[in-house]
Amino acid sequence: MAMWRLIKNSVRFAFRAKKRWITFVVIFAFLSAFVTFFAGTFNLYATDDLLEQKGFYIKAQNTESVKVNASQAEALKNLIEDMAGIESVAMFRFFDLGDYIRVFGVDPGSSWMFKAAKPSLIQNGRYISKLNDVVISTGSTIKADLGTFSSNVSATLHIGEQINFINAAETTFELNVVGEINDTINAPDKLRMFISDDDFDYLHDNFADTTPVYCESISVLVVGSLYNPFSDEIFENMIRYDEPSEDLFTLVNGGSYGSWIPPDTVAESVKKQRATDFLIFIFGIVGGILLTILYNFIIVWFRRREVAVLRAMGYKKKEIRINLMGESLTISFVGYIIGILAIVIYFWIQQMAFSNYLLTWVTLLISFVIVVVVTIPGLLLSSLSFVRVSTVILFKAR
Amino acid sequence: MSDVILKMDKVTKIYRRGRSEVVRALDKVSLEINPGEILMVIGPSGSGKTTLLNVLSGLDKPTNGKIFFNTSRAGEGFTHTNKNESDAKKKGKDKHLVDITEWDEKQLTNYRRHNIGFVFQAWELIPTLKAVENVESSLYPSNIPSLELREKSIKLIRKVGLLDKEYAYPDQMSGGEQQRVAICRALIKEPRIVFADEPTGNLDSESGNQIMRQMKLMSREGAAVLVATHNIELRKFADRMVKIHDGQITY
Repeated sequence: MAMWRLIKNSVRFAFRAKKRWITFVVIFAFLSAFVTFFAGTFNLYATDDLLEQKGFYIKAQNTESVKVNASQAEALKNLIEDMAGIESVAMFRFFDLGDYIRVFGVDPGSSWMFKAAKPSLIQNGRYISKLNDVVISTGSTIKADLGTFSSNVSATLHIGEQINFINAAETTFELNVVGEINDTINAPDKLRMFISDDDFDYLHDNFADTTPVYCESISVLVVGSLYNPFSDEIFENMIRYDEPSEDLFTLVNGGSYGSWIPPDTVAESVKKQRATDFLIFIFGIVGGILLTILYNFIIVWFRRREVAVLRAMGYKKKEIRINLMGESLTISFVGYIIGILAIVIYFWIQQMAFSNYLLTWVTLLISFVIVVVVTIPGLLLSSLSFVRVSTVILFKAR
Repeated sequence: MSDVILKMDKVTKIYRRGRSEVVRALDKVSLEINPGEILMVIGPSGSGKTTLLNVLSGLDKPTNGKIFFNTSRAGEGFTHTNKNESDAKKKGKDKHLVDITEWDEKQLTNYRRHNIGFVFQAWELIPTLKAVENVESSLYPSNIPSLELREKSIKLIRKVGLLDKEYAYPDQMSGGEQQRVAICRALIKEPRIVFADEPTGNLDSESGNQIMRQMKLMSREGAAVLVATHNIELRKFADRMVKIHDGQITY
């Protein structure tokens, strides 16, 4: 009874603190959005972005008869997952259109694709949602093989521009650039296009024949669990793909799937970028925790007179802490919910595809822990000094 | 059995200000407070009134001396342990008079919770709580059913003449009204002793008199009321009056 009343009262404190309440809710909303975004993008980096550079491409043998079909792809996916102990492996079909364009077919509904796997974080624009939509790598430059396609675009592709392919039979196929992905590694030399599966088939069947087609192939992108600074799982997996084990080598060279192409080695700049991102991630986390603790100091400071009144009335320290904690938790929780909703709305407005990555339960849990749960030790820490606030201040006029 | 509820025996409180300055806020003060009386402590600012209230209410510890509380008059639910109680019995002293200066923080909190009510000069109502909730807040940690607590609070608020103000926030009330809510907050737990520090300090004389009449009613219900003030005008409400100057009591 008493405990329930104290908790109810603390929530009341939070909701009725008006200006102060709104200010802190806004701060916490920003904090939770910031932390969620950071944790989410780091998750992205740890999986798609990171492993994109470490993914490998399997080519079917360069004959008409050998193709990687859906069941083979699914079997391969399962084998790689088992072998590497990796959570999920994402695969896309791809073919090379000339020397400078690699076309990926994206079908999240496919059983052998990792459903959540999409090209990368959409930096600008939106993800493909209908036929003739294409997502390209930011800053890609068209280096056409003459006669294969034309475009009414500038040398560097931008959203809103159109790419026209013309085959030998003078048939035209149009793609509208709707989104850009961040692809600093491949962009300079190669335009990578992500299109719907139907467009992929159409492009392949009607246009690829006129160009040096390598084959029907799949790219394998490894999607691991969230990068954990205390675990080298993902990193080890990457190393493993750098120097594929005998098992994996045998697997992909087994004849059924095609030939192995060694993955690109990670450039120094990528390592540097990775280190920088990791540092930012850590600063984000530490900053979030510090801000939460600071907030608790401030809230107790604002309420030191009330704390003194409660002490004078004979409230135990535990009861005062419940009061303060209820208020802090309420405010941080409401801020957290608003922050997450803001992200969802932002992604929805932007039609961004990676909200499913950004808002995984792991990401949400991380930001929840930082924004809401850290409130508890933060408050305990701050209350160590302030619960002892001298009640003498009560006897002084304001 | 002694009839006093609180007894100070040669209590001294020394503060250090800076490295060298020593302030003797209370100097061997001996004082007795009886149930049902209004004891007025009159003195100029800096004379030691606030320190007196602090040490008597257990918010601060004296440097020397003893403060005895009569446990036979303690409020409901009050429990205590005192290592000297058995000694007192052996020596034939009143076993109900226990020295609060020997208590730790927990025991002092318990002492305030069940026996002490405060009325402050600046009212110190919690601004985010309505009048009735401010009054109830005294007993939030208790096990009294919420409905009963609400009825009790409203009854008290009406008793001090605040009709239709039960659900007003402090900033919607005048100073006198807020002080009456503060009195209700002190009264709801039926304290044995009420400490009032300059309760009329921020009020006009009409409101001040009204507050003092409430204090009088409080004492009639059995509580000892100790009012610390520099306002000599208030002496007409006192049953007994002492003067304090430079930490020393004069009668």
